[in-house]
Amino acid sequence: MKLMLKSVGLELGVVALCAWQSASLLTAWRHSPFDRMCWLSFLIWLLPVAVYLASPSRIKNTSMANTVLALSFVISGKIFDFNILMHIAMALSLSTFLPTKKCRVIWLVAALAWMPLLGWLARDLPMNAVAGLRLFIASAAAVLLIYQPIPKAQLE
Amino acid sequence: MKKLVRRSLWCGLGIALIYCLALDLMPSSKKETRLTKLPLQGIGFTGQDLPLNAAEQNVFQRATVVKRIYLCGKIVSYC
Repeated sequence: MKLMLKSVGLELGVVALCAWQSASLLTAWRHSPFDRMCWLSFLIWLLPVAVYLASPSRIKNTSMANTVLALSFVISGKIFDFNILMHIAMALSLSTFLPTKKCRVIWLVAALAWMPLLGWLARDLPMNAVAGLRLFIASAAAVLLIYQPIPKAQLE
Repeated sequence: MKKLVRRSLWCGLGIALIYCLALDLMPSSKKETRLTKLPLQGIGFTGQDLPLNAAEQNVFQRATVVKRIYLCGKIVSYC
């Protein structure tokens, strides 16, 4: 545990900062009719990272670029007062724990599942369809990433 | 090199933390002025403030609320 904190302490710090700055998501998830099932989508979306964090030996290379981007987005979000930038920052900060670039890209796209942005983009669809779409995107990404074979280089 | 980058990132995280904390703790009138800064008139539209009715006052209570009617050409819009 101590070793893990030492190796990914910075990344976890950035995640904590982004989570704090995205705390308004909780209000949106509770009250916005367009954000139904966002909380569940978020939990499903988190599963791959939980799996990787549960076995620290699998985390060989965290993505420094994603951490830098996450910090830039969170500061920009604060300066310009755009929640979407905070949400992207949170997704970027969490994606750093995934093993390959491909995984990170898939997972970042799937982050739309819990973002209020999807509710806005799909505002013309029925609300239940939007909720179903959220769950589908999050589940598809989680299944894809959990069962994705990890390159040997990452496991050595 | 990697150590240097990580050290810089720790500094970046510290600065971001202080910046966010300062902005959150600083008393700001920004949220209220956003509403009052909505233009009443512009190119192609004109608006007018409306008073809240009793039910709306009961719902919004101490919240800052703006109720307006806008006329854009022949289209009338409430907000």
